[in-house]
Amino acid sequence: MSVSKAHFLILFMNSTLIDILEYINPVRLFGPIFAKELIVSSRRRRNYFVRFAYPFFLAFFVASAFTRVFGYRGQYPSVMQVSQLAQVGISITTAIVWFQFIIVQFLAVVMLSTAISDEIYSKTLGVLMTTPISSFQIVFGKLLSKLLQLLLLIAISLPLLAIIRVFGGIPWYFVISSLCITLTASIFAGTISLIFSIYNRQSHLVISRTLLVCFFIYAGPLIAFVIMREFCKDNLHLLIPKLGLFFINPFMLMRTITTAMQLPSASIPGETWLLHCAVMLGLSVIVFIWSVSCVRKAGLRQITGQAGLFLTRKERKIADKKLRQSYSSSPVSGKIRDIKWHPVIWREIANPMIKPNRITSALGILLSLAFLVTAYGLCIYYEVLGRIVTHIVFVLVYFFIALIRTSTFASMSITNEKEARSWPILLTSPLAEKEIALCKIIGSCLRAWGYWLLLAAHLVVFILAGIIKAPVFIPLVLIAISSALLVSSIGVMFSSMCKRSTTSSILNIITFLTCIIPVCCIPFLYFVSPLFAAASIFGVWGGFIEMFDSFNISPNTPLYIIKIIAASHFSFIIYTVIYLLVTYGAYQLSANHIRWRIL
Amino acid sequence: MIETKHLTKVFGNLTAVDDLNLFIKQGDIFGFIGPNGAGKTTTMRILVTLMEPTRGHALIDGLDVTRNGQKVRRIIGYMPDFMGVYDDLKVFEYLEFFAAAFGIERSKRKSIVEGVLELTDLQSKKSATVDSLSRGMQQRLGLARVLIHDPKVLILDEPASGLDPRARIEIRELLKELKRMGKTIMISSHILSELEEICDHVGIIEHGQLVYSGTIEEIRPRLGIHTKVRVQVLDNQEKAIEILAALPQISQVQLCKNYISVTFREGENMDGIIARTLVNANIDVVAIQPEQLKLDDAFLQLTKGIVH
Ligand SMILES: Nc1ncnc2c1ncn2[C@@H]1O[C@H](COP(=O)(O)OP(=O)(O)O)[C@@H](O)[C@H]1O
Ligand SMILES: [Mg+2]
Repeated sequence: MSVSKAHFLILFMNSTLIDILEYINPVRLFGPIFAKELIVSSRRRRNYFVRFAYPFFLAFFVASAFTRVFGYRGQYPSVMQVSQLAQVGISITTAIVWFQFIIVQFLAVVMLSTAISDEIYSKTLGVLMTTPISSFQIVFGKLLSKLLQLLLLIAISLPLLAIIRVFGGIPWYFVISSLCITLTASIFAGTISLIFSIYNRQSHLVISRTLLVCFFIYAGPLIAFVIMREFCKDNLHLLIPKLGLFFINPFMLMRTITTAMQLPSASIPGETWLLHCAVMLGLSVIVFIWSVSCVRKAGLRQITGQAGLFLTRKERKIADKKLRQSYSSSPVSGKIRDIKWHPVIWREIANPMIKPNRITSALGILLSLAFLVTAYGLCIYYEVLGRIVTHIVFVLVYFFIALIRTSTFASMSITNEKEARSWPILLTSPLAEKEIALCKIIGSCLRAWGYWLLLAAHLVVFILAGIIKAPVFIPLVLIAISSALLVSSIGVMFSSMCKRSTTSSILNIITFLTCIIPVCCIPFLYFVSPLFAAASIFGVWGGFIEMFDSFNISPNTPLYIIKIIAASHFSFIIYTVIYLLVTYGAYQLSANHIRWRIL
Repeated sequence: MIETKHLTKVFGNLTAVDDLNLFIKQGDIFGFIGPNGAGKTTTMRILVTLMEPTRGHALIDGLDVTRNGQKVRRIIGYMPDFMGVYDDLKVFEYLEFFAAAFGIERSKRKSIVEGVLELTDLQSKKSATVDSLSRGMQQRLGLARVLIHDPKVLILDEPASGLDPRARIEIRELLKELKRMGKTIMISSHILSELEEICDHVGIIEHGQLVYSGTIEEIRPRLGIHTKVRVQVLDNQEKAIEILAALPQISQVQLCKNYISVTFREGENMDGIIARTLVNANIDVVAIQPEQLKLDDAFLQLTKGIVH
């Protein structure tokens, strides 16, 4: 080989190396969007809030796990043995790891739920498309900047976990694997949220759709597996996919890991979680690439100024046609709705009826119908329809869905108008603040009427069938009305205080999760939760008083008295009164904040 | 009808409206003029009860806006400087919604909405969705909404901004029509000439302070702006210039391409003097034409001293 040839080779290699380095140059890869996101997010008030609230809630959660551990045993640290201390350490670690797992995933979904729609809505996506920034950089920048914030949150809990490790009994192995699972699950959920945010402006829709999709991806194979096993009991080879479920369902894997942590002898093979993380990352990459191409299309569509960015192709055609008609000044056909009720209530209820997205809503209705039929079908198949517990579960599910819908509607009812800037206009009308607040509360309740109707239908059918006792009906309806008003008024309160929908809905959902659903098992809140109230009233009036036996509360404590009251027949009056009082308070607060931060 | 006394609004360390005293007579169209960020929107927001002043007070029809918010809202119509995005409401529904919000009885709503649609020439659009309208139409729809409860006072924030000339003229005609109906109108703009034709009075605001208030006609002498005319002669331009420059009423004579630009001294009567002088000197006059009153120039000149 001649010298010049060697030189040439070196030169060639060098230039290739430079090319490669240039290509993976962080600035180029992450792009200006990443930098912009970081700058903007560091200025946002709600991010400060999240950074403050997260450790707060974490501490709260740990504290409540702590009291639970000691409370059940009736012992105090001074008389604890070392082995028990390890046990405490394990349960607290479990609590932290699960808290993190749920909250970080949820935050990822929430944070990315407006990632692209914000750009589309403020008409900047089209502008970005005319710059050298690639759509890859846009999506990657958005994703990475949010993930960085989540990493920050995860990092907060690490010192806590390190301290608890002093108690002994927890190998790093578990901590690391759970963190990795949390992270990959968050990335996956986040990318799904991001892809939905290309096509939908309203973050609550994006969030609920993402949760639904994740639910189907995670639980679908599991349900299919359970059903299959039921129908072919002897075909053992069908058990094989069960292992495969771990690779796709982070919840199952987390459960396995945490139970393994509690039994020191057991351990899970390392490959399982590593493989799981790899699979989740792979899936995220697929969704990511998909969203890059979608963003490109959306951006190009914005430049060319076609109508209805948030619609599907067919609907876009219809919208374009409508637009052309309206420009050519021929009257557009279409029914004009009458304003029958108070205008503010009317507007609350009229909104969802005219969603142009007919296809997705039809799909949603079909899916829910299929779900209902499956649920009732399974109950018939297992012959459990005659049992009270089954109906308690049904009532709880309906209550939960109706309440969470009411709550999210309410938490957006005012902020949506603030974002659309129609709020100041309404405020220059002579409607009084109290009137507006009340109408928003009632309107949000009425928007979820479909779910309450389902509940009522369930009750009526099974009362007529003689399975549910008739006296249940009235107390349950009272609780339903008062708790709907309760969550609605709290939602409207947050909505009146915040400027943006995302902020108010997050604040609201946190409140909802901690107070309405007894997730934190904070003893007192447990008893005032509408879900618990519904179940207990069903138990008391439906002749299932045994349900209270599961509460092992030692006598002569305040909690015991509460339990006695909850188990009595007139508890529903107390619940109703409590809920209405809180409703009144929240209503007053919202009325006082109607003119708060409006511009 | 509209009155502000020492109205002041402070945001942090920025005084957006600074000791503002305004008085607008009933039935007037008042042009509220100032560059961007001068405090026009803030003043209007205070007047329509969306904001509370830091100091001072504002009265509409004798009612204090902070204390009698509810009553004030019944007699005013406010059009903000932005047209909100309305989720798929149709034009008719939109108007009916506000009719209901203003407490108009159900039986009367339909006819009232039809009425304002006719006035704003939007009947053909009544079942189009609000966001499908063009900017000019949206602006007219905004006016239609403002009129729905037949308010005595209209407060319009930059209604003509972002419109094409034709839509501007339509809005202007509409405003004249409203003036005929006896409404008091306060209208803001950052372009003085836009309001020249329709306003009875103008107030010029700069950095939150009122720098001028009066009629358009009064602006000229107050600003020291000199009247200019263009004179075109058949020939003998040099001689014409000589003669004109000798006149005591005239301060400046300038030769431009094919005409002579003549500037009068302040407050001088110019009627006929040029024609008379030139004809007496045997110079054939082709045309004498007043130069357009450059209101925007006046505006710039007025605010020059204050802009830092
Ligand atoms: N809500 C607010 N908070 C803080 N500053 C504001 C607010 N509204 C307006 N300003 C400031 O007050 C000044 C006057 O604004 P504005 O009344 O909107 O001006 P104009 O309408 O004449 O263009 C501007 O400098 C603006 O930045
Ligand atoms: Mg303005």
